[in-house]
Amino acid sequence: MKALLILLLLSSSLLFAKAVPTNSGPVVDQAGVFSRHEKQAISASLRQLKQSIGAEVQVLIVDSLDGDNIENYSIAVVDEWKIGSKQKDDGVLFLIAIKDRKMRIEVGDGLEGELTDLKASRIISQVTPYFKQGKYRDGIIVGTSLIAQTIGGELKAAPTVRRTRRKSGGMSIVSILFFIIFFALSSGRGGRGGRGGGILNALILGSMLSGGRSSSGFSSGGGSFGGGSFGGGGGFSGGGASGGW
Amino acid sequence: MKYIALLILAILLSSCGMQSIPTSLNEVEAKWAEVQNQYKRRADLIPNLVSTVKGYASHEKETLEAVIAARASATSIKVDPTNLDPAQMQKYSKAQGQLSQALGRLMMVSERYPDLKANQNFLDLQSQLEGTENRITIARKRYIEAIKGFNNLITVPPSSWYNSMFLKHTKKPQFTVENYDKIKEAPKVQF
Repeated sequence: MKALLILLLLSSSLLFAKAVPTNSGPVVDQAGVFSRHEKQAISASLRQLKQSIGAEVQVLIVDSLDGDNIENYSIAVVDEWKIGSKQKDDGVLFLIAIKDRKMRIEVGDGLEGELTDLKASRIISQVTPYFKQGKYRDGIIVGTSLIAQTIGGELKAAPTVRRTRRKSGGMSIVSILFFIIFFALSSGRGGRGGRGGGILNALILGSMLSGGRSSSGFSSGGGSFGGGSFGGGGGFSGGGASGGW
Repeated sequence: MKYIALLILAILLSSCGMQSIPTSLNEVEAKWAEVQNQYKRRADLIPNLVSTVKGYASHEKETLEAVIAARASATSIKVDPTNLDPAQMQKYSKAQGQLSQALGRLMMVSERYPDLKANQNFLDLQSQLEGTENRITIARKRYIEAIKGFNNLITVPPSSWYNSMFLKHTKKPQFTVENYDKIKEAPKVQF
């Protein structure tokens, strides 16, 4: 009997294009984009976000969609995870399929007013440049914090988008200008270079990630890890936007 | 003895569709309302889209007029959720299908206008339209599931016995693919 059941389960999972992973936390990274620390830091800030504004934002990174289309898979995931509270339907899923080069922001019914399809598609177009350069880590952090900002919160402990990486990708004229200004300022003031560096950091980051943080590296969780598990019964009806890169 | 009989009756009634059939019927109605709601949302986007495209591609008059006409005929048909008449529903989905086609053509035509494609307003409308099409797909999928659940209840025993004795509901029409004839033929790719 048990064998039959297992067989049935196996065959049903073969029938459906791609199985939905278990909802193990705010960030489910099947493609190994993040290190453990980074994942913890993002998870902690998503939990903080939930504590401060109630909304649940989850990130799912998969390697491949196994031939399914992203809209289909995304709604299958949120139907199973039920992100957001049952009363307010305030959940968001940021889904990235690395090999398919597709992403989607799936918005719960209760947040469709704040995070409209249009705003979601704008966030996606801001993330696309990072993904095009293969900077999945940076892109996902930027995208997630933009989602958080749009729904009225912020990611307090998310890792910053690395400056070194950005430099290797080619400096923009704007950041070169900032450098010149910074050197002019720090040589003028003398001895305050350390602080100046922070400001510069903030300026460069700020241009990429409005409200970006000035500290380099990342601060760990900070607040409590409480906030309970994600997925309280939120409803979705297909709001959001998709994009490729 | 009398109590046992009552108890058995209660169990029979509760497990045999007295609750589940009406609940499922309400579900079907709600899901259909959602389908119409999302189609309406799409119809509301169209006037803006048409006027934006018109500004850049005014000589695509035919395509634009086809969209306007298809929108008018699609919005004129309503299907009452409490009376899902198969003929009316087919008319409805056909009209919506025609609107989808006309919209598809409009989007294809707009590819030829680089200025239009770069227009922020157009891009915004395009992403809203995409979002709405996705909602429609999902609303329809959920409606189909609700119909399936309802039809199962009234045709599969034991709940079907209750239905045939008391409620006498008939099977609800499934949502048919609008442009089935078109889909049957594989699309021709022309260069």
